[in-house]
Amino acid sequence: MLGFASPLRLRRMGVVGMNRRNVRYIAPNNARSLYPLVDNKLKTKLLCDEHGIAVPRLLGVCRFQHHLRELDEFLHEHPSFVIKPAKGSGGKGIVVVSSRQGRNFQKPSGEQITIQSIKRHTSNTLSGLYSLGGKPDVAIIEEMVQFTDDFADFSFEGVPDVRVIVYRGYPVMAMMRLSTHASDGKANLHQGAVGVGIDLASGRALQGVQHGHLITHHPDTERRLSELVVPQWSDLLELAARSYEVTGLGYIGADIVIDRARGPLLLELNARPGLAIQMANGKGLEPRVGLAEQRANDYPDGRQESASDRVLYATESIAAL
Amino acid sequence: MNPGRQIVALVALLVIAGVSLVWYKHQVLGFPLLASESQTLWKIEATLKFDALGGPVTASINLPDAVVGRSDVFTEQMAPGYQFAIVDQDNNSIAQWRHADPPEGAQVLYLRSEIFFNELGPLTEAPAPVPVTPHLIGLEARGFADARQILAAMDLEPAALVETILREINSPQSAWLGLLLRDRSRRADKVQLAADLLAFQGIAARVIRGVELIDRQRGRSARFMLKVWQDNAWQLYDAKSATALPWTKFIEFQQGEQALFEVFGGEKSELSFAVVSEERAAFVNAVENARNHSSWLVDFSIYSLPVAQQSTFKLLLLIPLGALVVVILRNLVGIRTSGTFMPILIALSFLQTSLLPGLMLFLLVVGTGLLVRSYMSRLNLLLVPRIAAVLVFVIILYAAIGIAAHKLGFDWGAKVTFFPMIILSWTIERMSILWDEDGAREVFIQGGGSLVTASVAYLLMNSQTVSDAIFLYPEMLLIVLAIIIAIGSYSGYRLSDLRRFQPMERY
Ligand SMILES: Nc1ncnc2c1ncn2[C@@H]1O[C@H](COP(=O)(O)OP(=O)(O)O)[C@@H](O)[C@H]1O
Ligand SMILES: [Mg+2]
Repeated sequence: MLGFASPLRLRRMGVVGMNRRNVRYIAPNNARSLYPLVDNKLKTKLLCDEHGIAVPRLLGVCRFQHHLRELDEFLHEHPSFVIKPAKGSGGKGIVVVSSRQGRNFQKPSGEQITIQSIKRHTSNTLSGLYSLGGKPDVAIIEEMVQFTDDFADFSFEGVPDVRVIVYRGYPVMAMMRLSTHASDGKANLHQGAVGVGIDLASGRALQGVQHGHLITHHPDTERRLSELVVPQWSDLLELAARSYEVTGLGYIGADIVIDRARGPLLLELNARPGLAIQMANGKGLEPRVGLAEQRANDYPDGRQESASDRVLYATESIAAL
Repeated sequence: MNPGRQIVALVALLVIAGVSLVWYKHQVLGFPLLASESQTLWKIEATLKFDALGGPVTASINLPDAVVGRSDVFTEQMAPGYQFAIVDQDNNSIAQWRHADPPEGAQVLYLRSEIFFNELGPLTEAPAPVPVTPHLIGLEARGFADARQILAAMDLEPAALVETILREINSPQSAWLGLLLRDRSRRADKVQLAADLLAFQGIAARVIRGVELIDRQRGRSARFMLKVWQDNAWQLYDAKSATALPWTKFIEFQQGEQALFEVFGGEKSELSFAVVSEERAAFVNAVENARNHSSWLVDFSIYSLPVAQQSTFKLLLLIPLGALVVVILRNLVGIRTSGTFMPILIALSFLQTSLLPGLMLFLLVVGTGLLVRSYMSRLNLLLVPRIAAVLVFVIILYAAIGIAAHKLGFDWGAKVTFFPMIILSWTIERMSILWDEDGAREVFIQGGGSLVTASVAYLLMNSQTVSDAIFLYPEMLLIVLAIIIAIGSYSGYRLSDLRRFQPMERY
């Protein structure tokens, strides 16, 4: 068909559409009352810390406009940091500072910004410019993640993260998001970032997709995507799987980055993760979710497997689908 | 019950309730299916003139008897200083005016009624009327006997018989009625002669008087007609043209011995009629009719509100349609819009401005707003003051467009005020952030999506058929609700999914 997939064929591939995701996966598994836990990155962070899930260290929180006056002094102790809105999404309002250049701050791309522009940005964040519905917000200041060299040539001007979809505690699909020149250093697929499907069993790249089309090499760095291997894969999956116990959300997308020193760190959790991950993997979510559902139902009365057993099941059984 | 079953049950319930209410109103209350169906409404004005003699006056007009399938609505009367009442006398309604001491001289009294026909069945009567033969003596008896002979020789069908007799009484030099007609110069008497002749043939007939329903007539006096009992129903005959008439062409005010009108205490009285017809939406008549029969469905509906408020509600009733469009375009097609229900508000504005000027004004305001907003983002203002500034600018823009368009001679410019400015300011703000964060492409996708959605919603809401239908049958909102709920649980693909995942087919 011209520009449209046949719904029957998509059905057969088990591809999940927006409506199915919303009606079948999100509505029954994600209680609304739990949303604030993940819609607010500060809450997620504190909660994860409490449960021993590794996250980038929190440096400080800017809650009120009058905090801005102390911002300059506060940042003196931290040459590198990240400021982000607690209720932001889609990479909006995130400023990454990798070093200081005299009075100025330097972004990973080399661009320099002044303390004034950081203050203005933070002020905007507090008034809710980047938050959903324009609600007042707070600004989180956290340590900058030092990325492992494993991904050095796989990402352009930005930080690759791994998105894992976790269904009732079972990792069901994963992809790596590589920023490109086209995506302006952001790991947002619809802006032109590269999505690389990752084999659940091994952490190896399956295929790469940009703008929905298969690619074999990173468009900017020319690295072969098939050479991509995510290190500490089972640790990463376990981190993702444990977010289920912590939040109680049955269908989540965990964003994980790998720090050079600390290993996998949970960046954020998403209660409405997107569906582009299916394109990056060339596979539909449905059979995998179905299997996870079955497995979870085998453990009645709210009992469940431990996170490491769930990861084992995912790598052995779910990955095969 | 699990949620899925509940939804199916709820949807079924809503659809059944909606459909049966619509059916009830259509079948039982006689609501038309389409508001565009029209009915002829006859406005009849009776004018009674007389000279008061001095002293108390009582004037009355005999009102038509109720007929099934015809609705008579007395609307108003005008007679300064007179006490008016509709009184019942021997099963007869009479409009009656009284005045203890009217000024001497010419008096004019008016009475207005509106009449329309639904489905007029045959006019029957039980027990069947009997032919009334007059008591005859002398020459009269001879004349009738001759006429009967001649008629018997003709051996006609009843209808032809009536027509022949009527033709005959109208001709000045009738061969076989000459004798009888000579003594009957008055019209009433001539028509009565026809009735008498029919009575001798065993056919019941009555002389009636009333108004013929012909558009744009004034100063007409009441006409005599003949009604004849044929095939177990009264058949109307025009005594003048000697042809049968349908009952929808004539309103009978008086029959036989009754007085059509009476004036005590006055002289030179004269009754005349004016008739005007008006094509009116059938539902207006249905509503009035249902209200007369005090149906709860109409009593507790928007029709019970004053007309001015009805039109407000008419607009409100359209909003669910807009919501339906948004739901369909979002969840079945997958169009992204800026702000979920913002397109409905835009569509409501389009209803005032109409589509093309509306689109142009919207693009003009939002486009200019975006330019100003992009300048302001360089000023580093705080959020709320910034949006307030955009709002002020939008209003200045409204005024500028209004004035400029007026000077240039486009009257649609002033319609810009129909756009909700707060919403527009927020739209500008949101789009400008979108522009900064996600690029121009996303702005065009969402802005275009909003406009497409608004336009489709507008086209639906602006359709006369649709809006009248919803107004006539607000119960249909239950069906709209059912569709929305059903779509809410639809887990199949959206059109946008099919587009988006299309490359997957080729992997
Ligand atoms: N602490 C950090 N150190 C380095 N980069 C970060 C950090 N936090 C976020 N980022 C970058 O910002 C992107 C989006 O961050 P995330 O917390 O997932 O916010 P969002 O909800 O906007 O997606 C990440 O993929 C990463 O590239
Ligand atoms: Mg993220």
